[in-house]
Amino acid sequence: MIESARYTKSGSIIAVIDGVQMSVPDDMANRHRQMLVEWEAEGNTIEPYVPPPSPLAPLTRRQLRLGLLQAGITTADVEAAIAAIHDPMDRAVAEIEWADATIYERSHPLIDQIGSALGLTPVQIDTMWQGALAL
Amino acid sequence: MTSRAGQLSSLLTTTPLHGFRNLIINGNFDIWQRGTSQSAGGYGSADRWLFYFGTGSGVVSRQAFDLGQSDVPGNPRFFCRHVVSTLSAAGIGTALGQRIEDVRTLAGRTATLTFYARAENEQMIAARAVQDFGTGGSPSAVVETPVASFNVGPNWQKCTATVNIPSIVGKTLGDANDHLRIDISRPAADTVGGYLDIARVSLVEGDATAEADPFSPRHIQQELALCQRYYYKASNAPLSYPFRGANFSGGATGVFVGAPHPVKMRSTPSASFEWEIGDVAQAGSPAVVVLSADGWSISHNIGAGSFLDIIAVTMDAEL
Repeated sequence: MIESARYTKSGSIIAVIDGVQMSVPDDMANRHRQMLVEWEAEGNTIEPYVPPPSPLAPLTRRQLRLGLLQAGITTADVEAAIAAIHDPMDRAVAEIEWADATIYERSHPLIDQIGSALGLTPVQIDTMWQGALAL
Repeated sequence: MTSRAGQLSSLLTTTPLHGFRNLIINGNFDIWQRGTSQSAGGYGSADRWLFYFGTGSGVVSRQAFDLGQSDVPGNPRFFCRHVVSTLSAAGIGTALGQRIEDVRTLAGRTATLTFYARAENEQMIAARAVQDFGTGGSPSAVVETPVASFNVGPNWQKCTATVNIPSIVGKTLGDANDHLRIDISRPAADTVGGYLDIARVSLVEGDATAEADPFSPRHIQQELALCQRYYYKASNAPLSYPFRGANFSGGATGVFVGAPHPVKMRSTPSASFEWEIGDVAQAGSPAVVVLSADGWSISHNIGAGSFLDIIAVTMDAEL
């Protein structure tokens, strides 16, 4: 049974068939593609490809700190979260990243890690990040 | 008339030298890449074989022969057991079948279907050949040709019959997936609750009914490679490092992982992946999957210092 299907950027189709998510080539010699033809004939639709949102641009040190401040998070709060990292090496790395980086990448694992320690979800961090970009 | 291949067979005895004579793949039920049992219709256990339970439910499973048994020739290791548990309408129709690539196969020729069968409850099973002209375009209608019916009981018995596969002159092919199919069907009566066991299936050109065992065995590696043209599962799970891509850059970036298929596949396969990022299992599919009949590759964005592991891949290019 086909549960869902959507096109990908490469033109193949991600489909859930019999409970298994699989990548199906847009090739009529493929039996799963044939199943999708029959599924469409029953009135179902393969969803079009939707590009993912663009990754958030990096923040300068100034933007990051102002953004945190607007969210009610002080420099001291961040440094306390870093100080609470248990592993000494990880803690030292985080201190260097915090103190010496000139730009901050949203995808850096420390952003989610410290954000989580400060009670922020990834979605909240994204919102805050978006706002800080305008500062 | 005994086929020339059959005459050669008697000269060469039963050796892998004439192994490509048998057009059925996995006729000895040695290869079970998907699993050793299934309860849903379709592909699900023995490679290349389609199983059905009609309007009811049931289970197909791999069963082992007793070592040294002599009821079925050639010392096969396994046979296939088809059990129907419930049935809501008369007859289950096709119980098992195999699609042989290319409808030109044996067209206009005489062939011999041979298999061994036994049934818990005596019943009449039937075999037929179906010429399917494919999908897409405007293919000709399928042509069904009865092979024979066999009354089988609780003891293993040889079922063999010749069939004249019709010519395909004047027929029209579809865009893809044309094939010759061999189906074995079960009746409704005495079917529910009882098993039907099938072993050592062969389809060879010519009249081989006089041969003691026209099965024509192949080396297990040849048989596996033939199966992998249509389906394979690859896993490096027991190893410390499966198919791995690592991100050594300073930021998030796409990493690429890929591999060639063990054999060229019949067509571009469907693919599913069991995969992890940084030892954390991921749901769904990697972001970019590129497939061909020759191999697969994926690309997925991961964080700095992380790694992406493909634990297992499943590729399906079945008919």
